[in-house]
Amino acid sequence: MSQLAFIRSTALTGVDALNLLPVVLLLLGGLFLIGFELMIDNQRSSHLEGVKRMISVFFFLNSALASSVLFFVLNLDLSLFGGMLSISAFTHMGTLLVSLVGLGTVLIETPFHTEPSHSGEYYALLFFAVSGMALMIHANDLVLLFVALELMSLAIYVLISSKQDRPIFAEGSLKYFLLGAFASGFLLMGIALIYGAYGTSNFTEILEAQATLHPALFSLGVILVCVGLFFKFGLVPFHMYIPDAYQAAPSQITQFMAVGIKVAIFLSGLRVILTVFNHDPMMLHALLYPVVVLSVLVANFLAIKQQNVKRMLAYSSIAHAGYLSVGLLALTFPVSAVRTDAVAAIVTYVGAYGLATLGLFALLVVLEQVSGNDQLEFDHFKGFAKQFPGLAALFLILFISMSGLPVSAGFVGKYLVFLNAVKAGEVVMTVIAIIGSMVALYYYFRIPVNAYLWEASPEVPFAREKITWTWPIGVAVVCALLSLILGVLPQAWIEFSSRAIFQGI
Amino acid sequence: MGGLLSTLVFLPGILGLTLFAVPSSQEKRVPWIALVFSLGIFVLSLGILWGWDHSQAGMQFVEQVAWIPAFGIEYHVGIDGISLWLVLLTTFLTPLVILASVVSIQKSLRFYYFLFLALETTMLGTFMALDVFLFYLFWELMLFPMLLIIGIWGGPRRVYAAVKFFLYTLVGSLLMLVGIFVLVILYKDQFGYYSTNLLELYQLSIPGGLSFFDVQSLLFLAFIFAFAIKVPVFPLHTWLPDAHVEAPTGGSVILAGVLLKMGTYAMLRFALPLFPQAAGLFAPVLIGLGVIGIIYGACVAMVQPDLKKLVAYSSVSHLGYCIVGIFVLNVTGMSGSLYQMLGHGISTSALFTLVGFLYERTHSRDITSYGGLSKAMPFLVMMFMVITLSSIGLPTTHGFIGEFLVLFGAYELSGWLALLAGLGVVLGAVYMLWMFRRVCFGPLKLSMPKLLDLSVREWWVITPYVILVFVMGMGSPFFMKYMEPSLQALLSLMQAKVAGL
Repeated sequence: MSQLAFIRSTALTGVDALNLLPVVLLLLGGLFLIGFELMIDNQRSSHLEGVKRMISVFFFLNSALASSVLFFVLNLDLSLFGGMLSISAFTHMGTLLVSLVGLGTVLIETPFHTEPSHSGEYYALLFFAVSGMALMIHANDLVLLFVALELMSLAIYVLISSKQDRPIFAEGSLKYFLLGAFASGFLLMGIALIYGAYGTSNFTEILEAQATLHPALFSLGVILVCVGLFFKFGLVPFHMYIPDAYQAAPSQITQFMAVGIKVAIFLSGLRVILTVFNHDPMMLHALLYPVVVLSVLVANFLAIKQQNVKRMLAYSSIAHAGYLSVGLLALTFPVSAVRTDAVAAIVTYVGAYGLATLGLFALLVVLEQVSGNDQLEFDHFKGFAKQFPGLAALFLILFISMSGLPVSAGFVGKYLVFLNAVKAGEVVMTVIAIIGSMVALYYYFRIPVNAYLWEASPEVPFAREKITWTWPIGVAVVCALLSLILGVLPQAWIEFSSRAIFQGI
Repeated sequence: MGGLLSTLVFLPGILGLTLFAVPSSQEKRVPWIALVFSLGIFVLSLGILWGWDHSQAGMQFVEQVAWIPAFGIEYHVGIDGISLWLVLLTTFLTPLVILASVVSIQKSLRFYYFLFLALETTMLGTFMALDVFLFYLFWELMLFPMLLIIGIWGGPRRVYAAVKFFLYTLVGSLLMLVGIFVLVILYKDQFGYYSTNLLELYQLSIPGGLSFFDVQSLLFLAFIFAFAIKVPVFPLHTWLPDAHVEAPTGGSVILAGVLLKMGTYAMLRFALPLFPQAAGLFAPVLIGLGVIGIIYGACVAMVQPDLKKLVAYSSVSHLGYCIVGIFVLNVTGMSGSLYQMLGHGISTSALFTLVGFLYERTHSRDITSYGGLSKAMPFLVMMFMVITLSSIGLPTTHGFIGEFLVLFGAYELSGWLALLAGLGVVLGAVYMLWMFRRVCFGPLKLSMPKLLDLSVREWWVITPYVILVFVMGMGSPFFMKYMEPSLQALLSLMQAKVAGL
């Protein structure tokens, strides 16, 4: 189109700006905190810890509030910036989820710095990562998707390197950085090839285009994009960096990665699958199928051998990425109603998984701080229930939700995803995923079994500490309660997820 | 009478939670408070008998509330002749279990009695759920209290036994979940809307059941696998001996008395009416496994040196009768199976209780360390004799009715089958009487500590069992007239579905 027309098309109206408010708030939060940090000197930086935290909470909360208001009230389907950015109920739901993840991360963290903290930068990086996630979900163009993905990834590379006192941490964060950079390279190459095949990188234009003149380019592009995305999902066999990276990061950042990246990648991946890959769903199916089978089985079996709680949770997150991908398989099904339900199922599952993960890591953060040991193992939990019956009950509820057992949000999520998979004809895959869940039961219940059924050994690390009411415990209680309530009364939540749709499913 | 079933389901759990409010100074009163609660629940459950409509073969006291309309899931409970006596068995056993545990449980009393009341909630919910989703929920939930009961208050290998029981059963029920998905989707395809209402799912006609690997057969297998682990059907029984031996007395009683019956109940409620052709196809396999269970269980019981393990294997043997009775697919066999379920619930529970009494006195379950108890504890031995004879199946006890009807039903199918199954009666007599002789008769072993006969509390615990043994043995028409219409309806439904295809 002509230059003037293009400029006009990228102009923002008032309504458009309103719809962008959540993302803008996130970016503003990051910029504000960096500015704030620059303006104060070292000493006051440490004193103003609480202020910085409050500011972060403020911005995250407002972003979450704005996106939920937009979700319920202003239900529009827009496309902005020349079609690069899309606004819909789906994007508002996604922004809400990532804002809540950011909020949770800020609430559960305990300071891990001792020297002048410059934690303003840390919070700013969190905001940038969350904005990247939100923009990924809003993206209607492969290039914007890539830019937002890089924004998120670069921020996270720095965030997970916060602990440097032992070589193991440097190893984990470096692995994550190198492999992430590789993955981005694959992704970019794939995007370039798809652009070559269609002459555009815009989702809507690709969806509406007739068949491409260069199918070979397109196929190769799909494969490369998939490889890049699978790296970021953390599916087998692209998962090697995950256990080390999760172990190396401070626990609240591990939680941030486990949930936030999944939300961002799955929700944006959803859109990519339904638009760009719509020309050849069978190829995607063929690529995804073996990867999902491997993820669901291999991850669960590898997790059995783990003694370190965080590594176990890392492998379990690979398995959960596998279960979510079972939902993605349903997206390649030709019937539109099944695809819509699949989107709702994935959103529901991600919510349940996010709740359980947030609660568990909140508890881990508390226990790590109390014991001074950041590499908690299962043996440390023997006899835990005698000392801390309340916390042990929280662990039990949260693990019930993680393993997808009834009367928990996790069960509702799994029920929906697997029901949809069966509807889409993927019965064998569902059985395999269920077998994976069976295996997972063993390691999910190690902590509750150790806590309740074993006697405490004399060198138990938390035996003599008293834990007081702190934000992380409050977050864990809320997560556990919500997991129970949403497990028993999921109707409202399922309805919200079903409304998180966009045009052209 | 609206709301009676829901009250029965949820009240035990809620009352159990209130136990935590008892201050530590009053902790010794907790068992008695729990006893009062459970007796109240029992009396409440008798209200079902009082309000029973004999002309109705279908579900009674039905309560149905929409729960998750997006998927057609409802809170739907009801009771019929098949579940009635199982519900009453549950509410009957719980107070007895609580009373029996008073002396042997000394730590974390509030938690222990809460777990039993919570367990009662989940058990009653499982028996009364008429929505497949709700049933699955309760089925899974019942594992948690049991895991904790065995794992915290059990014997030396309790953690191993508890985790084995938990994981084994859980793994089995996960396949059932896939079966539920397929069922729901088949219903949606045929009727156009989502529903997990069991009564509506009964109307679904599923293609297949003619070969071992078509849709209906695979669904049947998925469900049966979960139930077979619970019953337990040979060869999926290996969790049972460990779980029973390591559990505290109360845990063993409720495990044997109620939890095992859930498997056979679920077969009657789900596997048979939903997949009648496949049930007919697999019936020989299951009857065969049942017969193997009867004989194997009896033979292994014979060589057990541990009293509790002997009773555990006798459970495997007795439940083999239940399996045979169900899968001969006639009313006689099924009523025998149901009666055997109830009877086994009485006699094996009583056996575990008595073994518990002995253990509290001598701290030994080793048969060789026992002898001549009749000289020291005549009354206990008398009760023991009655229960042993009921377990063997002596006429005038319930065991006779159950086993006789099962054998009769088996005979309708094949004379040889009845002969094989009848071997179990003989073998049962062998191991039970031999055990009884070694423990109760003969010279009193000098290594035994001073043995006291039944205390007042123990009289109160054991007498109801003994009374029921005779009431069920001689008054079976009373129980049968509740059961038979529903069993008949079940068979008619199955026949209609088979004919309709």
